[in-house]
Amino acid sequence: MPEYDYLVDVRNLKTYFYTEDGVVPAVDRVSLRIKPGETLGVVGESGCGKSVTSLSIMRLIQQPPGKILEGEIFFKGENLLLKPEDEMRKVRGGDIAMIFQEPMTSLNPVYTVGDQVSEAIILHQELSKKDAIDKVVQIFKLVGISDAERRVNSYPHQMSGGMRQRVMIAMALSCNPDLLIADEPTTALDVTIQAQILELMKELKARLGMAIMLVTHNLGVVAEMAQNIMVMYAGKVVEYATAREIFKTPQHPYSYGLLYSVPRLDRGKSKEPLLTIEGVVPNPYNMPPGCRFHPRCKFRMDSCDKEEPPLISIDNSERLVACWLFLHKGKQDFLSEGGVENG
Amino acid sequence: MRDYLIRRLLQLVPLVIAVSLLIYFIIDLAPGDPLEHLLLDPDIKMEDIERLKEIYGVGGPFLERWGKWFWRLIRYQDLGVARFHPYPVWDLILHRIPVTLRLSLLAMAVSLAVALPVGIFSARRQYSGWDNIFTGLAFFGRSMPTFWFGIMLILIFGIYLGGTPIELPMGGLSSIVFPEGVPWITLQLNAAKHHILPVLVLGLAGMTGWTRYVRSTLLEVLGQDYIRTARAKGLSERVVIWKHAFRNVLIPLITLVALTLPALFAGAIITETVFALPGMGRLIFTAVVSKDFNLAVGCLTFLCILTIVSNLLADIMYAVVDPRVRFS
Repeated sequence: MPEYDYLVDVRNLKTYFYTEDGVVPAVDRVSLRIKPGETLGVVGESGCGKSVTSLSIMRLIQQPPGKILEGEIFFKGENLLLKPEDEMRKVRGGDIAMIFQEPMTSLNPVYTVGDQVSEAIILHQELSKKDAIDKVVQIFKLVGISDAERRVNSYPHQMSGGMRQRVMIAMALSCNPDLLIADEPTTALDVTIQAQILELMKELKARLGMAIMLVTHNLGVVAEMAQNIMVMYAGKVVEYATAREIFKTPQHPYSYGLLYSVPRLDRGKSKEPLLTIEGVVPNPYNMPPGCRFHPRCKFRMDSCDKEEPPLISIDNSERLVACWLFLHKGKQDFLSEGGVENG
Repeated sequence: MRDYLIRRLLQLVPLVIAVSLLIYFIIDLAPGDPLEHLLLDPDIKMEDIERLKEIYGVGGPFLERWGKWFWRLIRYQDLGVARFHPYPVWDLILHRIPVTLRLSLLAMAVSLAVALPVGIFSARRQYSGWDNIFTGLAFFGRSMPTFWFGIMLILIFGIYLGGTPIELPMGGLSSIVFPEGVPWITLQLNAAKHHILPVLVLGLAGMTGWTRYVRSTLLEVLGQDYIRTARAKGLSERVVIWKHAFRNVLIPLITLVALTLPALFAGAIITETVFALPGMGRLIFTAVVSKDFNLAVGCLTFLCILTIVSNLLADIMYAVVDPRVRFS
């Protein structure tokens, strides 16, 4: 048994960006935990800090302008933020691998895909170039790239977006990572390919058993894959729950808004219009006081713009929410009462 | 790749013809004909001039003259005889071209040898003290007129520092005061010393401009997604820069360097004049000023062919570095 309960245990992570126009609190006191083999979905609108959180875990934040100010990132019981850079490099690609949103631009155009995938293998597993290429061929077959022997010699521009994402997945899995961070892995692909890639990730997870941190704004994707879901808004965690709980009884008005702004087949007969979340994501240079969501919240109360709601546990479980509504009035049931009052 | 080369080589044929036509036409626009100056010679007879006209293909319609000239060029590799120098144009070019090529290629090599490391260094430490210093130096060098910079260098290294160990020759290809039988290496070292200042002057523009270019291109490349991928793989910063970024920086740089090639071959006139070097630049300049028709047309055509060939080389380099060019 390993001497840690959580594979990843991020505590109070604070990553700010210092730009010429001001300070952006991109990630503000974010905590998250992932058990070995578990999938955590991180959900939120663009610019809510999802990607910055995942890049912070990899310590790939460009500095300047970015800086991890505070917090601890425990991985297998070790604080990654205290590791020297050369040890961190062994973690990157070896223990934690990452796939990105844009398969079209995430591969270097001037090297063959075989070369780029084998690079990680040579680095972390100290295989010879030839053995590494053999291994690449195997992994290519695993991720469903047909004609793998020939494909290793292809350049990225000779492959489709879906194929390139498969290459990225092959690259990420080549060193058997314990954690795979997938930052919007299907967003740039068309729908049929999205489904294929998700299916592939599920299958590989079942076979290889790594934990996945799935960053996305697509709730359908997390519903299918994740056990736990973390909802972020403007650099803050607003709700943290199991997938089942969050789809059944969302506790934060923002989670509720996200869920019911997406058409769903199981609500197909209802005549209710889709919900919209009024307004836009706040200006990151000038975050609203109090709860950062209050200017857009339909359930806004007096206390909302005064003080920031703390992230607290619901019924002493692992379920967390940061909302004054819950603190003052207890558990909410948005679905039965709220669905109709739109606008 | 082979098909590509053959296709490109075939494309050269019409290009060379068009270019020589254009050059011939432009030089021909100047008043007077190539034999006009012979009329000043009291000993020459009109029959002689007619005879020479026949030989040199002077007079008659433009296309006919050009046709004759071009035919002699490809059939006999003959560019005619220069007017003031009593030598065949071809011999003069062959005599001068090594000087120019050596100067230009050295200048280019030095420029790149400075621009690549300095540009990369600056990009990696963007807005640092060193980056600002190099930026300042680049603008200083870029704004410096060639002739002025050359003269200043001569003044400093030839005169103020004269007599010290770092004195450098003020011009020419070599010192003339060598006795018989000096060792080969001494001659070479002497020639090398004579090249330091001209190479510096000629290479200055490229050095400074390319440094800026390498800096901004690398900054752009470092912001690309594939660099993040390379870092996420756990590669060291050295591999990220020199393997993943460098080759992507080279692609646009090759185009830029290729564009400056014609200027390097022909445009050394100022540098050659300041340092009294017998290169192509001065030959062309003299030819044009003294209306030496054959010499001017010959030199210009030769330089154009050189430029066309080096552009072809650049395109081949391009295909070598960038796989996307190779297959499309």
